[in-house]
Amino acid sequence: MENRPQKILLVVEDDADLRNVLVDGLKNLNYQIIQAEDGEQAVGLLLDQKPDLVLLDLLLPKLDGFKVLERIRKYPDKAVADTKVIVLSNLWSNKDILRAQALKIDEYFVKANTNMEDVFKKVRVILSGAPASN
Amino acid sequence: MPETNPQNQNNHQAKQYRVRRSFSFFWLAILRLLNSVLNFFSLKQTKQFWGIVYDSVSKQPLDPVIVKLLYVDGREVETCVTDIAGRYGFLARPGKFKIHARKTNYLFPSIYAPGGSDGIYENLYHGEFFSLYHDYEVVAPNIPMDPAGVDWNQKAKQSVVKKYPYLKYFLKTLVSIIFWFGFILDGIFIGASYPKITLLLYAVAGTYLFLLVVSVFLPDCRLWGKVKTRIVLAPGEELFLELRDIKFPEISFGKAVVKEGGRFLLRSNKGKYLLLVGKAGINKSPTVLASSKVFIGRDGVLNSTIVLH
Repeated sequence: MENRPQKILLVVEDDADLRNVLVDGLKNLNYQIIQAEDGEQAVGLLLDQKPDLVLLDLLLPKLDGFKVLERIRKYPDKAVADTKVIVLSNLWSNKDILRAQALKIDEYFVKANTNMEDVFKKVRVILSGAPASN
Repeated sequence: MPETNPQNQNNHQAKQYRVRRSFSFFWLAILRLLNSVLNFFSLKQTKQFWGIVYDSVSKQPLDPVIVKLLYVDGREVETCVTDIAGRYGFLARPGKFKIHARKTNYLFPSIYAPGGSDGIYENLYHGEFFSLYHDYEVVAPNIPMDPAGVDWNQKAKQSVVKKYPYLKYFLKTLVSIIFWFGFILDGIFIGASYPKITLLLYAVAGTYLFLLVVSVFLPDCRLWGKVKTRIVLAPGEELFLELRDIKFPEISFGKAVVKEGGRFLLRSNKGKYLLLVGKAGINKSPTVLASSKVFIGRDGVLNSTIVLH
């Protein structure tokens, strides 16, 4: 059987409690999970680790989620620029959703309206179709 | 809760059923309006559709707070995350429960806001057990949390959602004072001009009397919605409701499972939505049975009766 490298998932959430809930829920899915608590840390990990999927909050310290997304999409390395992104935010105005969609996100979940199981399911679906980064 | 995509649904199945709102919708709208008027004059403490988790010092709503409804033995019944306005709510069956709230840089239960009211928020919750006796009911007390450190999110959020609870409290108190001052003034004028009382004084006195009587007898708005249907579900199947934005049908703006007896708690922001009614079961893909456009008002809750036929 082919020994495929483990897929990498970057969880970007400034609230430690919610981040822990997400990481705990995703642990069982057998991905390598890396975490960032602000936008700058997220960009650093993105360039360093090249995750297969980013679970991204929008209201973030230092660099907000929109700017993180912009940096991903404008990055010269296609492997980074095409990174799959799920937004998990409590912002739900049309303006915010349109802005995120314009940056080619793969899914937009509103935290308050979402069962975390749906988020984990979506992560599974996206990562099962995505080739491993390494 | 199943994940659905209305764009991927089988149209044939979606056309099998039609959804309409029951005529009780009109009664509920009138009830809601009258309750709002009475609440405006502080004549009636209306039941709230949402609970708010807030900072016990600044009184600002908190998000994201992980709010858990727990059985007495600590088992989890349901978990939700507060929205940007700190709102949350559960629909729970009869039983004994407690609520637990968790947020980074905040402590629960609050020491700074003890008791049932802090003057601005009523019906405060501090982690005690409570019982529900009759049927599925909405559980949504206000939850104060004490700040334990600087929370970046709360500061940053001020530009997105800024509430003015103290101003709101001041205005509410002012309206109440003016209301009762008017009542006393009308009484004085009636007394002074007796027996030549003008029609205007009678009208004002009549309005006051009407509002006072109505405040005693008017029932509360119901907080939950209800689905009426003859659809028979297989064991393990459940009906669900989901709100999708008309402009962004791929994004969910609210979901609810229909409980035994048909009650549901479906909340979202004010706006027009596409309501999907569907069924889902263990190891079965969710199926949309019907859809309809709905409007969610300022209360942020769909509490009408949905007839699926």
